[in-house]
Formats: sequence, structure tokens, C-alpha cells
Amino acid sequence: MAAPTLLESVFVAFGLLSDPYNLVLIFVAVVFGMFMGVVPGLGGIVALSLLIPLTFGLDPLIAFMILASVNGGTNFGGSISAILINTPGGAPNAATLLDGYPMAREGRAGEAIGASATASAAGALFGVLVLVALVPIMFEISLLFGPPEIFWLGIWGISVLVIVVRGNILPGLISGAFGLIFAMHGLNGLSSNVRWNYGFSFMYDGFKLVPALIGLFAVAEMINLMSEGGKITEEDAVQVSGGQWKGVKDVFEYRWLFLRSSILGTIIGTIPGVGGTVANYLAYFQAVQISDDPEKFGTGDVRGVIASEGSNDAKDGGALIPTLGLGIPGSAAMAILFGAFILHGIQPGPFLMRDHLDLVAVIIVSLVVSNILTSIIGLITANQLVKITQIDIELLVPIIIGVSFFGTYAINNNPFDLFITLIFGLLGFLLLKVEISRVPMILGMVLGPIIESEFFRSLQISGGNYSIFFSSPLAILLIILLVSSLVYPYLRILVHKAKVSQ
Amino acid sequence: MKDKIEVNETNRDWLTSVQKNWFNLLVYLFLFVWISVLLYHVYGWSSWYDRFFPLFIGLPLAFFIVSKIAFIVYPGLTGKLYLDQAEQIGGSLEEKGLTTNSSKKSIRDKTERRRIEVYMVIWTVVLPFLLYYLGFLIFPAYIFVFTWFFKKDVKTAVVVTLIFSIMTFGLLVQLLGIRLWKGVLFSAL
Repeated sequence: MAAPTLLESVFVAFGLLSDPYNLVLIFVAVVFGMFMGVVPGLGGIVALSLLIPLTFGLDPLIAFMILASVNGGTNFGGSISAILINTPGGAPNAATLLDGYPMAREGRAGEAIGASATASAAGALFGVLVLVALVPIMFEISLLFGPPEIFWLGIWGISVLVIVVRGNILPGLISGAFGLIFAMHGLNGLSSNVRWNYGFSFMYDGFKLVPALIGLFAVAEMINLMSEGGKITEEDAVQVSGGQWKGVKDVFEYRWLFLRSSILGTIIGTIPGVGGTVANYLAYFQAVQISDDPEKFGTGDVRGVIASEGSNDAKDGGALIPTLGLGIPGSAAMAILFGAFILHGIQPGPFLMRDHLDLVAVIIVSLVVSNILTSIIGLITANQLVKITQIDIELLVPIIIGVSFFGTYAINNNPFDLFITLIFGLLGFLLLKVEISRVPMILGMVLGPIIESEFFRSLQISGGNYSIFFSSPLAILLIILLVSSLVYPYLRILVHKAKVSQ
Repeated sequence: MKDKIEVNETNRDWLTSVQKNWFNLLVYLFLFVWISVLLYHVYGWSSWYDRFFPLFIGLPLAFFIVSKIAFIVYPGLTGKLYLDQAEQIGGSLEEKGLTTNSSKKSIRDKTERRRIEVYMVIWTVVLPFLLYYLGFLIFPAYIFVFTWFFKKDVKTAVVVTLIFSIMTFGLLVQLLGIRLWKGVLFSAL
């Protein structure tokens, strides 16, 4: 029997989603995603980290339907708090407030929310359409990537991430390298020896990814949030009082700006490791630069909201391309989704497209449905949603800490995993305090085993000849990209100094 | 309330610059000791498959940490060397969005924040040990005492405990069919 085509798989996915029980699950996932997205400090990474263990026992199709839906919900949720309380739910919504909040202060909150909802949903749809268009050829493209190319792509993914997250480069490098070192703990599949188990037998499995990321993100954030105290935000929310429909129409009026931003977001999403913050800001700045009246941006211009939200949601479709096609996560959220694949015994990469097309289709359809649902719910309930930010932190923290440890245990019913979450929770808190980004660490943990195994596989193929790493044009291209991304920030300093001295 | 004084501080500047430098130094020293111990173990491994990548990543990592420590101890070095100077592409962008417009401020003063952080770390460390030795049935009691400790309100603590218990024991355990850990002490009985 012939393997199903993508179209057939999409129909099957729609069938799955049309089941009333599954629709309820999607609705709950979207609302949960929006809740986590609206609350500054939580966001998509924490939401996905908490849900992976809780969906582990479900059928993989249902589990990924829920995870994709939560991801769809968090993106737009973050823009609501950016617009109404001047605090982005997450860094990927940071550029939205530059114009969203001034609009809200002018009494145009409804228009900003309407534009954000439409741009988000349409942006996500655009990114997913690009993904769908590429799926038929993705298997062939991925075959161009042999072990040496995958090795360089993995190294490039970490190096790019190191230079795009906040702060300066050195802490980012330290974080990424520590992630790689953590990935090497436990049994080495190549030699069957155990590396760094600290004398504990449970460490033969190494630092498991999901307990580690629950600790690094959820637990560490809770310790930090608790110390701030009070409500999630002390700022009074601006009320939405009509105008949403005008915001919807604005997106169609500025359709070319939206399209440019979505294309930019999708392209940035495909670069391994680069997240929504970069997509968000680059789209905003291109909108400012191309505009005839750039002085209007930052004062309440709807184009700022459309550009940033369109690109932010479009990047998810782009980020799924390297994640599903090559097994290299396209963003931090995708790194967590990658962990879910491994947990379900599914290896993302070329053969995913061939062997689990139904799963790919479910993710695609869930992203589309959840983004549309999120925007509709957001348009109707923005005033109520933003009230979430008035919740007392001291009530939220015990529940999230509890669910974090509960979820950690639920993955393998292994009480020792609780200690991995604890170690990474404390480590994450220390990293927060010294301003080291935790995202490169997680990407290092995901990419570490891939980089190491592909390195030795390359050498096995070449009989120990290192020239295999430099023998294909694609490998050379990836090396050039790697060197450029590491040298670029220093070149910028040199150019800046030369300008100053002139 | 005394501890509800509004202070204009962002999340990261609750320590003075001198305290912050000492704190940063301690954290980087801790990371350096950790990676040094790990690297020391690597030299005891015989297989090249085991040693190559840990050294390939670990030695540069140790160098990065030493460099960072040097920049903290001798801040003047950053003017001469570029290593710690390069801004990440997204860094300045994200800073712009999150620090110039963010309204999130701590309602606590410095001493109070440090005190709460220490309490939180202790509470977090205690939890996995409690669960390991006494099992998951202790969880609602932990949530109750935790909430009461910080809120000093029994009614709120009961509500939070109920929400948590319904979410986890009522919903997740039933839905996922999780077999709850009884705890080392109760298993031995």
C-alpha cells in the first residue's frame, strides 16, 4: 500500500480535530496557552515544559495536537499584555508594545488588539503554508544533509543562538557549552561507558531533558517571581472599548507590510536556534525603515503592531522546517517540542516526513486551528484575559512549583527525576541572577548528542579522514555561516570604533 | 505595609554594583570548579570516544569562564580586549523592549527580596526530599504550609491547596493513570 500523501494526512488530521473530545482539548490547550502567554515571566517555554510530562501518557497524535495548540495560544496571549499593560507576555512580543501601548493610551486598544489578532492568525497561517509547500520536497532536501553537514548545522545552531539572545557573547557561549557538557552525562552509546554519573546509578541516563528544562525555566522563574511579590503587574490595564474591527481591516490595508513581515518571520524561523525576539524586532525595524513616515512609529502606529505580530507568529511555521526536516530545533520552543518527540520515541529528521506524516499533519492543522481560535477568543475576551495579570504572585507560585515537580515525576514515574529538576531549578535561578541566558543551555542539551554522534559517524564513513568535514559545498557554506556569525559582533565593534575615531 | 514599599528597581539591579560583582564572581568560580572537576575525570577515561567531545567542549568552556572571571576582577580589561564586549544582535533590541517600556517593578525592598529568595530556595530544595522520603501524599500539606507561610492566611492556603489537589490528584492522576510514589519511609513499612 502506498504511503499517504500530505493532503490525505491533513484530511485525517482534520478528522481527528473534528472529534468533539479533541476540540475540547484544543480549546483548553489554547486557553491555557493564552493564560501562560498573558502572564509576563511565564510564556510559551514554561507552558510547553509543564505540559510535556502531562501529555506523555496520551496518544502521540493527541499529545502533539495539544502541544501545538498551546504554542499557538501563547504567541498572541503575550501581545495582549504588551498592548494593555505595557509589559510583554514574553520577549517575542516586546516590539509589539512600542506602538501597541501608545495606541491603547490613545483609546485605540481595540484597534491594536484587532490588528494583533488578525496579524497573528494570518502570520501563523502564512508560516504554516510555507511549511506545507516545503513538506513534499523536505525529504529530498534533508537527504543533502549527511552526517558532516548535520554536525556543522548543529554547531551553527548553537553559535547563532549564542549571538541572538540578550547580553554579551561570553555568557551565551558559557551557557551553550555547559548545555553540551550536560548532554554528555550518562551512558555513551558509542563506547557503552558511563560519563560523569556522580556516583548515582540513576545518572546512567544522564540529565534528562524534560526534568532539566522544567527546572531551568519553570522552577527558576517561580523563585524569581516570588521574590518580586505583589501582583504580576502593578500597572492598571487599559480597557478595550470597541474598534477591534478597524484593527482587522488595518491588516488588509497594510497587506504588503504584513506579507513582508511574515516572509521575514518565516525565514528567521528557519535559522536553527533563532527565536521570536529577533523576528519581532527585525520585522518592526524593516517596517520603520521602509516607511515614508518613520517618525510615526513608536507613537501609536498600527503598522508597528502588524509588523511585529505578523512575523512573530509566522516564525513558528519556519522553525518547524529544520525541526521536523533535519532534527535541528528552529527555536527554543522547538527545542522543547524536540524533547517531546524523543520522549514519545519519535526521532525528528528526514524519516519523520516519511514515517510519521500523520503527526506532521496534526501539528500543522493544530497550529492553524489554535491560532485562529486564539485570535477569536482574544478579540472577545481581551479585557477579561488581562485581569489574569492582577493575580497575586504568591498564589500562582505554589501551584506552578507543585505542577512542575508533579510533571517531572509523571514522565517516568521516577522519583530521582525530581532531583534533576531541583538541580536545574537552582542552576537556572543562579543564571538568572548573573544574567546568563538559559536558552543556549537547553539547545546545547538537545543538540549535544546529535553533534557528537554525527561527528563520529562522519569519521566512521571516511575511515578516520577529517577532510570529510570540508568536502561538500553545503558543509563549506555552513562553516562560512558559522564563522560569520561568530565574527560579526566583533566586526561591529571594530567598525564602530573606526567610525568614532574618525 | 512595610514590605509593600514601591521601589524603582528592575529585576536585576537589586544588588549594589559591588555586591553584584562579588555575587557574579562567586557564581563563575562555582562554574569553574564544576567544569574543572568534570575535566579532571575525563583524563581517567581510556576510550577516545568518551574523551574527545568532553575535552573539545570542556577546555574552551573553562577558558571562557576564566576570561569572564578576569573581566569581573579587572574591569579595565574589557577596554583592551574584545572578547567580553561584543553585544549580541538581539541583546540591544530586547533590552530596548524590556527595560525602557516594562512596567514590572518589585514591590519589595532589597533586603526583603533577598530574604524571600533565600526562603524560596530553601522551600524548593526541601520539596523533592519530602516527596522522595514521604511520598506524594505529603504534597497537599506542603502546598498548604508553603502558601500559609508566605500569605499568612489560612483561607487562602486552603483554596490554593484545593486547586492544586484537584488539578493534580483529581485530574492528572486519573487522566494519566500515574502511580504515585509512596516514599522511601512508607515503602519500607
